[in-house]
Amino acid sequence: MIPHSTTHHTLPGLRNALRRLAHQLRLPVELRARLALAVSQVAAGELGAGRAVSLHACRETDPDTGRPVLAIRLRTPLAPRPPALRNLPLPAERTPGAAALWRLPPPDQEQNDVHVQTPTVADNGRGPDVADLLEEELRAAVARADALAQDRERLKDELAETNSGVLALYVQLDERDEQLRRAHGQMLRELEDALRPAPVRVPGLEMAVHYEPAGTDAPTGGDLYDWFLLPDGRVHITLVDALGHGVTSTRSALNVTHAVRTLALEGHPMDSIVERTDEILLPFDRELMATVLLARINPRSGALKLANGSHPPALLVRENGEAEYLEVRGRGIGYPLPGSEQVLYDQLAPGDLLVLYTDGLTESRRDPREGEQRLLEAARRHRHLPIEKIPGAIAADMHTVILHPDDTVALTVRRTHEDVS
Amino acid sequence: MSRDRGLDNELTVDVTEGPAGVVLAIGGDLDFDNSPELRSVIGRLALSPGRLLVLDLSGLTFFDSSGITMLVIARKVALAAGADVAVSGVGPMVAKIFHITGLDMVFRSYPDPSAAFAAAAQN
Repeated sequence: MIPHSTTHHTLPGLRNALRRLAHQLRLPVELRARLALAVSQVAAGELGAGRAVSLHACRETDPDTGRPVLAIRLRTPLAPRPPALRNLPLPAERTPGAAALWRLPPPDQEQNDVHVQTPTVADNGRGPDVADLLEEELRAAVARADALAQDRERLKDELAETNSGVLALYVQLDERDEQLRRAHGQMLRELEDALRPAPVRVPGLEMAVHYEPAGTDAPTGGDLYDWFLLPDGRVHITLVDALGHGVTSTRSALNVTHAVRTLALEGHPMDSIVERTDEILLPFDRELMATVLLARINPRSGALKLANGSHPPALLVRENGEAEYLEVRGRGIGYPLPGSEQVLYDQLAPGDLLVLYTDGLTESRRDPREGEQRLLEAARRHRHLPIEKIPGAIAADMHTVILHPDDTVALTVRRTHEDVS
Repeated sequence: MSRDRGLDNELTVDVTEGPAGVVLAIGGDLDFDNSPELRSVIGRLALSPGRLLVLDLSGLTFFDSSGITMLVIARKVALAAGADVAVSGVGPMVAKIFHITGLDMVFRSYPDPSAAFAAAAQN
């Protein structure tokens, strides 16, 4: 009953009184346990030293909130200095009138809270057995520990689920990313295919081309080719290698092939097409630099004419295996002194193979001299294959080791054995 | 030699300024990826009428079309400043590329920078 005031000389005495009082006041079991532990902790030092303490309980009004509270005070009047209040299971306040003060919600209000365990130990008239009270408190503490452990398991499971959810999301996003990249590359390749004309169909000649941009990240490059039939029946072939990589260099290469095509179809003399192309294009693009090789072949006679601007030399492989590079001096678009210095004349006999290419074919091992020798051997080795297989076969041989990746074009023309009539 | 077998060699660029002109020594691999560094160096060279820019290529281990472009740009920059330009230290690989691209008709070539400056002094 409150108000309560007792003096104690022993710790068991204090504990029992407090527990019985708390039970009487119908304090929730866990609160009782914490209060008892806290009071014991504060008083233990005093009682152990043989100094008495006193326990008080009464109803008060909280000065801060104006609400009724149950005030539990522990007084240690004989203590040389106030006992420590650190790390208590139930925090306490230090006040002028007491070593420790606990302000608790009045028990009547707590009974509305369904989560609070109200004491169930029976009162046999003399007061409950303290051992029963302790057991009740222990049971409550154990139940709380169990509940917390269950919670923890549940949270762990939820976390694991969330984690795998996030992971799945990442995988999805990654896949979507990859799909977009592939679609993008596909689109660029289709665009590039649209830029490249089909081989010219003309009796007396057969031709094929292998085109390989430098990498999948750059599906278009600065290497380009063009071939078409001139009004006089000859076949014109252009090979272009524009500086740089990516779509900008493709555009440069396109500008060159278009200018050359227009000039050729208009009948412009072959020996000045390179120079004239430079004159036309540089005002629009001062940074443009491109090598260009022009070839003209008469399908009936096999007569071959070459003009060149800084491009690697064409390779002529005779049917019997003799091979030579056809050097034509000159400088390309955007170079100093642009234009072909000369025009070279030669002859394709039936079965002879002409190979035109860009330096990506011969410089994969970084030494152009060694590349030229290997190209000659590869072309010679494959010269009897069906025409559509030759460029790929040559490129495969040349690219067994790639130390320097670059756009690559290999274009082959062979004079056929068929009777031309 | 491992250098010739195509392992990547870092680009080196050294600028030496003298009374008669500038020596720009380019070494290692010059390709598309590292040519912007060289380009910015070229833009800052101290060239003026009467001076000579010597491109010393004796240390080059590899160059492709991007390297060609750098030489052409260096020549444009020199000529625009009223200076002259020459190359030196052209080894067999570089000579081959100069021959293919026709740049041997464009650049005067000397064994080393002092020969280039000596020839310029005689004119």
